[in-house]
Amino acid sequence: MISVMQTIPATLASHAPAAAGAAHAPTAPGDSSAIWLILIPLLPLVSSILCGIYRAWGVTSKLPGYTTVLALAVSFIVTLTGYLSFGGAGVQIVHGFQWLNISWGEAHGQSLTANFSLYIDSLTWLWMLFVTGLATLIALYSTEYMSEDQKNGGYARYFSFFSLFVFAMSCLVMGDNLLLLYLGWEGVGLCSYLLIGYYYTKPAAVAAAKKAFIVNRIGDLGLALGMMLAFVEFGSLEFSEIFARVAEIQATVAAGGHVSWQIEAIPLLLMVGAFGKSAQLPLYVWLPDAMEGPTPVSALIHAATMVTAGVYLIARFLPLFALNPTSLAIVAWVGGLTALLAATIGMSQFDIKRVMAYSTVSQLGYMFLGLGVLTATGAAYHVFTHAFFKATLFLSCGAVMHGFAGQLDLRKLSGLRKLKGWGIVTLAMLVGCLCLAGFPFTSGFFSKDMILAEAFVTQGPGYQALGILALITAGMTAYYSFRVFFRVFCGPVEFHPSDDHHGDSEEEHEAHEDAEGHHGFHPHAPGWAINLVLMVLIVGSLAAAIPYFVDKENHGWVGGLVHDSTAGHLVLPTVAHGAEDAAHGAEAVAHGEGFWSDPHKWMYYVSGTIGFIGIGLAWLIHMTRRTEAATAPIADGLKNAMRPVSTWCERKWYVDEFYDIIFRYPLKILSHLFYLLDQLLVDGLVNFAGAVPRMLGRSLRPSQNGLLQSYAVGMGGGVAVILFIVWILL
Amino acid sequence: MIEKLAQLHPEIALFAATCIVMVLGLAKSSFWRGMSVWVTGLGLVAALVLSFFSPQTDGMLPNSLPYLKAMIAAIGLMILPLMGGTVDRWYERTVGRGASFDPLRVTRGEFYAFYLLSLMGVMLCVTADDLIWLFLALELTSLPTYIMVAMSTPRLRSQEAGVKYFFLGALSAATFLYGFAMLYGATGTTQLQDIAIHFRTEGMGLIGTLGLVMALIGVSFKIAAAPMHFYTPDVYQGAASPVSAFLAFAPKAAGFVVMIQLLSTVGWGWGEHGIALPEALRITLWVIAAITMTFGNVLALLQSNAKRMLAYSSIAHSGYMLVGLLVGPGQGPIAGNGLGAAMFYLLCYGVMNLGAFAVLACLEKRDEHGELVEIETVEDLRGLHAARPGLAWAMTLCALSLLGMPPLLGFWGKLGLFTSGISAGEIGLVVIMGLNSAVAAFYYLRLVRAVMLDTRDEDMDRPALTDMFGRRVAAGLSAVGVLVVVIWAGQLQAASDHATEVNPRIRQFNERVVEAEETPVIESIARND
Amino acid sequence: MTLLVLILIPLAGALVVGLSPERQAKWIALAWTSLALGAAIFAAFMFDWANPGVIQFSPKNHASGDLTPLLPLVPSLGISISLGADSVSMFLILLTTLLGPLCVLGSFTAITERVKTFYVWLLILQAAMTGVFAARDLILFYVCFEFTLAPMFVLISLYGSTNRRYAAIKFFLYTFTGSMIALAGLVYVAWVYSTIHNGAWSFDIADMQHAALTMSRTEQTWVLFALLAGFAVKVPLFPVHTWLPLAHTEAPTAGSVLLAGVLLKLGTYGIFRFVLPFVPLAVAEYASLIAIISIIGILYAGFICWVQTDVKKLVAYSSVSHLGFCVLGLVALNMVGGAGSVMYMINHGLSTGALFFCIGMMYERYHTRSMNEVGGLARRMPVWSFFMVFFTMASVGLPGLNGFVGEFMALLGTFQSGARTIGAGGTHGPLGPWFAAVAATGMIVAAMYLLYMVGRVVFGPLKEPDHHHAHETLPADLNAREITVLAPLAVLCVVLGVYPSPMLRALEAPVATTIAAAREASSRMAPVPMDSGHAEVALIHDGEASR
Repeated sequence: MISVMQTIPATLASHAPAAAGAAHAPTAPGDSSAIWLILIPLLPLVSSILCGIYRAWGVTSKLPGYTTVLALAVSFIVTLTGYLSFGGAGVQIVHGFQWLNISWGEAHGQSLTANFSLYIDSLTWLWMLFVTGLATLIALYSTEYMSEDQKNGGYARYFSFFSLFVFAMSCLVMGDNLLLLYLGWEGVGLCSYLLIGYYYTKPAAVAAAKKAFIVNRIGDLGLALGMMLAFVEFGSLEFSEIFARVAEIQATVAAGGHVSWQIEAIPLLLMVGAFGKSAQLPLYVWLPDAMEGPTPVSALIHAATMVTAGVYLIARFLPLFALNPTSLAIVAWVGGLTALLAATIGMSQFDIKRVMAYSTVSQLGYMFLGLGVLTATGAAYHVFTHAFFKATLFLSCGAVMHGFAGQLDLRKLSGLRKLKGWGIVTLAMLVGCLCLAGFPFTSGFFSKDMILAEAFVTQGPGYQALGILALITAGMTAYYSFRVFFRVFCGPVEFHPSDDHHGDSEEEHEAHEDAEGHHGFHPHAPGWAINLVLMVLIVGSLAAAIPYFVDKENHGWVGGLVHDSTAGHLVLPTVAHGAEDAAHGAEAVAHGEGFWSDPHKWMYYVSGTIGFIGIGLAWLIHMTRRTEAATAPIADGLKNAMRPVSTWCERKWYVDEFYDIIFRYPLKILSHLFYLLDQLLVDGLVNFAGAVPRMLGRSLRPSQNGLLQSYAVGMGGGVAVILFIVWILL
Repeated sequence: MIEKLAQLHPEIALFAATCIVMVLGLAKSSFWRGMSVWVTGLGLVAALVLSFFSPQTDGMLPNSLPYLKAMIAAIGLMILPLMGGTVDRWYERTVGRGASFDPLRVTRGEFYAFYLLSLMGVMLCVTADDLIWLFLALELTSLPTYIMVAMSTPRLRSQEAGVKYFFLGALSAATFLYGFAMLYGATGTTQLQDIAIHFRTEGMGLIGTLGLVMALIGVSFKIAAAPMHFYTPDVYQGAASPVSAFLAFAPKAAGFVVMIQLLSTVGWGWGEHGIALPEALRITLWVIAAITMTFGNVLALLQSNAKRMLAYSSIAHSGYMLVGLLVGPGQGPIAGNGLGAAMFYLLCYGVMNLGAFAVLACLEKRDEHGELVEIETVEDLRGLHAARPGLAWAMTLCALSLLGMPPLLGFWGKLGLFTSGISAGEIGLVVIMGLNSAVAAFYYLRLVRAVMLDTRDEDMDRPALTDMFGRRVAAGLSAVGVLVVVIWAGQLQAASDHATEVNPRIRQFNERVVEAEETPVIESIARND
Repeated sequence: MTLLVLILIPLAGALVVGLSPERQAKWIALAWTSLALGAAIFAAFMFDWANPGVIQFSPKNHASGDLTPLLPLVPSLGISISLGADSVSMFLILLTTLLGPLCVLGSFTAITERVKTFYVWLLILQAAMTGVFAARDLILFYVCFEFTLAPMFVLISLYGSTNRRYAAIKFFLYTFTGSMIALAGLVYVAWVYSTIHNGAWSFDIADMQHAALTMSRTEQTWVLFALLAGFAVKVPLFPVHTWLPLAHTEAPTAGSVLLAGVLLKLGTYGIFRFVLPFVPLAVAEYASLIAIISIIGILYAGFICWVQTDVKKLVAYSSVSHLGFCVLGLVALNMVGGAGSVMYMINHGLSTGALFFCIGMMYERYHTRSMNEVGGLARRMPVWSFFMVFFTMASVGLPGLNGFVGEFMALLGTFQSGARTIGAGGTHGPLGPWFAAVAATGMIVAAMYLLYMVGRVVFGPLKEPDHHHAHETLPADLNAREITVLAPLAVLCVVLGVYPSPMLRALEAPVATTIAAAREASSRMAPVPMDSGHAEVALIHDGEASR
């Protein structure tokens, strides 16, 4: 024992400097000297801290907004520069500093290392480009949108959280190890929580924020466990080492080896995290509620960036997922079903932001479907296009909301395109809806087709049926997006401002009401920042189609990026996809020569037609014979005709209620029971133990009655008893 | 016999002081009467000093002299300021106001003389080496205390207490005397060493065993152990606080010393490992110890009268010390020595218990007749910190020490008992003791809370401070003691261990017998070494 | 000597405060606690961080063979005042001394009656807590461990809220009972030492550790349960936790802070310092039981938090839940888990301590802690709300803040426990993925109850009690003094969350010593049949021990 006690510290002492030295020495071959890339996450962080300081100082100007825009813009420029410099240069690893490091010492070789370092490959570039780019635009938009809160300090708070979000998102996407990814993962969750609850005096906002965080945490649990299992199995949390090990396993699989169940479990666990963050069934319930936050937040976080983190995670670990085909099938089915379910709900909502929220869930479902059917390119491209057009849609909604005092009910708004100063908003909405609907030659059209087509190609459990489901969903998407457009922007001019003002200051609200009242309400048209951003986004949404035609070999620019990243190195143990390199998507598949045998060709026409049908239906139902904002005769007739279904759709299939009954209430009851148990039984036992001596004392007390005689009897009796016992014992 | 006198220097000093005090007490001049307390003190100092120079005895506890007698003298000295003036301050006041002197009504001399005689009895118990001597010494310890209780206050309660104490004491004396007689009957000798040798060679037999058990139970009256504990609360409550403090120490010390002597005749050189008591005796003591501590604590829990509470706590502490007795000198050279631990605990208990009683003795209130009486209840102590911070701190320290709160003296005493109990394998008993300490914490904390944390109601009378300065000195001494003696805890424990080493002759004899008779045992001993 | 000074400074401070006038007491207390903090920082500079596993500041040095204790106390029992610190102790001492001045500063307006007494006992408490972590002698450890009860008893029963009497006495008796049994266990180990050293006694921790390892499996089991009786109550683990919510709810703010911040760590520190090294065999055998108890505690207390309306009680129950992770990491018996647990001790002290400060500041203003009466304070107290949300997030275990590091490592250690082997013996750890998976659901529960709290108290519509009388001297939001209390904790939360690696490096050696010794012992002792006694092992041991 002694020898152990003495040797261990000694060896550790010798080990410690070695570990410290190793941290500075160059480690992996992909090491980058481009330390300036660290500015990408750093600038938003600095901006966040600055905005926090502004808040503490009580700055009421637009300084926080401009600081953020500047920081994010520079961050975007750095990203762009970085992409242009290193875009094709493989993996860059930029070392920051040591975060966690604990080792076993001696020669056991194992250590837990997780550093603040960046792992940058083409997938990262793709994500970071649109994250920083869109963040800059939306921050600019917010400088105007949030201006009402300048006085009460909410402005600086908003931008502080906003910047912090971008920082966390950068960590998520750029982290070189699972733990840093997890930091970003939870960090974006925190920012989402803070921003959803931005209007913290609104109970609904607070509840929504809480719900978002907790539901996300359920997913995070899966991610955390997956991370732990990955550490146990691969011995490291760092991507470079994990992928090296995965490559080894792929090699054994290619040689006919088996994959251990532990390895197979890792993607299943990671998947849970992705479902939580990307709002997939059954964890999607938080996202629609998250619309309680300011609209730019919905645009950035809950549409364009954060919710695609799940897609990123699976895309990043696609080689790992490929080792377990079951996990891919689950991803595909969950994605497909989520898309369908969310679309049905989206068709029947009246709150236009909610419609957009469900459409986000639905589109995320597409992305998962894409990942499940092994077209990481399709998924990533859809992420890319969706980021643009969904941001456009949300920001248009935001402009409406901003102009109409928080009104979002499509029954109370109508014919906005005819109002002065709303032209750009209308255009933006139209473009966004066209993209979302998959109108031919818009960006959404191409990206969605990639996924749809791949669903028909890939062999998997019921993937053909899934493809048909997805096509139906596409039709629904076209319908509900144009339902919003036709009702809000076309038809007779009519608007009612909302009672539910989105400011967080009651006084201000009252002042508002007094000054303008409901009758004399004048919508204020968007200002320059909002219009500028919308214009840029219109261009962006349309231009997002261009990358599809660039680099055609790799199925577009995005395909090239995906191909160069970790998602591009797959070995499929069992999926008979016809090619080793599935990331090539459709091209690598042995497609037939004829027109109908290549879904990538006929899908253009099929989905285009379906889009037209959806839009036409929307026109028919919501445009024809409409005279006022609140009703559309055909829609109401249809709704009555399909009463049970439409009610269920409108009430979101009662999923929230179902969760309440299945989880929340039982847990609450259980908690009350626990508390009761704690007080009565656990503490009761303790108190009982405490009372025992007292009870014993009470029972013995009569012996001390003060009477000499009874004392004497007691003593004599005691002596007698003892003597008797001793006699027995002898 | 005469050579034994050479071992009795401290006792002789005390005896001389007793004689002087008795005479002085009758002096007409109040100055000389007042000198009696100083002479008592002087006698105790002399005894203290002399106890270091007494030669070794060849009794059962040959090394006992310096530690045990010095401890008795020292604690006697600490109690003395508390005692000062207890008995006849009313009378002295009357004289002070010009009343005529009546030698028949002045009891000061007697009181101190009894005090000294009782302490002398305790010391004699230490040196005793045969049954007769033991009996006489025990009675010398007890008899004066009966009277002290009765005369300690002019109230009827004290006399009731005295009577109860006397009759029950007589009952116990009868018990142990009967036990002594049976021992003599079984062995034919009154010499403890001879009894030990006889038991070892001839076996104990039924009569011997029963005799020893009876003797032990009888003596356990002195230490207030079950089943002879009934008198304790009544007597402590009835007596004046200083006398209660004295009762909690002197007879207890005598009782423990005698029990050690009696148990040495059968144990600690015997048994498989050469230390254990006969099984019947061990079980008896085990049960008595467990019952005593539990009984004392659970009843103390219910008390609202502080004196009665301390009386029950005194029962409980006897139970703790019995653990040490049960363990015996233990295997190891020092630390496993249960006797040493018990004797060290006795010292600790003497110091800390004194303080608790002294604080009670320092405070007075008017009873229903308008007389100033000592306070008794916990209620009376409430909010003491605001009025008398010094006394409140003294009470707090002593109560926490009695509780066994480290780093106060009581903890170190308890630690010794813990270690010795565990080294003897009496883990069950040690756990019972631990749990009992926890129970005890409750009522000691009530004392602490009352004095330190509670605030006094507006309409409550402020407790008057007694005019007897000595009592405050005693409280202070005790409070300082529980803090400061800790520094010498190590030395004192070592001295105590040394003092309680059983006569090597008995040990050697037993070992010889073992070697000669029980070959299987030898192996185990050899292995043990 | 350095460490002795660290103990003596607060004691001297207590004396000075006791003698000073009532009005200056708080400033003097602040000065002395700051002095102690300064001294602790100085000690940290003196500490040789290159050898963090070596006991330092101790003249009694086993490595160099110098065994002179600082001051012998009871030589016959081998008890001495011997102090020393490895990095684990050093961190905990730093935590203690840091919380000292903050507690004083945080009590400036909260304590208005019997001010002097309050600071005297606070200083004494600090001395005792420092002593616990600095002790290298078991009895000295126990003395300090036990003595923390007295100041805490006074602080709760004098300065607490309505039910303080009951809470104080329950706290005292509960923990005292447990530690009495623990003392029996510790003394048993010392006795084992004496039996194999021919009756010589020692309570030196290193000596006892060697002795303890010679105990048979059965003996170890008993000692394990005896020690747990003391330490588990202190932690507190699941069925013996009921004193904690009560004590926390009733204690004054500074009391709650120290209770959560330091006193609970005495339990986990005890497990780390004594249970693991002393009875590795029994720990390995019962680790899954302890882990299950911890996990039950994590979830059970977490769910209870969720239905609390008293904010302080909620945070108190959350401590039960959180420290479950800490114990779980310890019994995982591997490096990650052990280091994570030690990190967790520090981090929980910072974040939960800070939460109690926050709640205290709210209480000072509204005189209620009920979520039914106050809510939406973000509007009234933005700065306070910032800190509240910040520390809640630290407590939830948000990566980037301190709570995450410990929690994640403890869970990872648990997860990995069964899978990989360390040390020469190559044994499997006692726990495994399932433990971690179930325990990790505690992360969700933590989010549930803490966000529930924040959602009600900080966010939502503003709600102030009807009888609201703002504190006369306090502004609506935090003043500079209160910000000074919280800011250092917040900074540390960030620093330890973002850059814990220096601390982890420093923890590596002592944790490795403890864990490897435990694993080694359990692998070595495993083949020895039950009840083999210490005789054979003792002989082996003696041969090695004689230098």
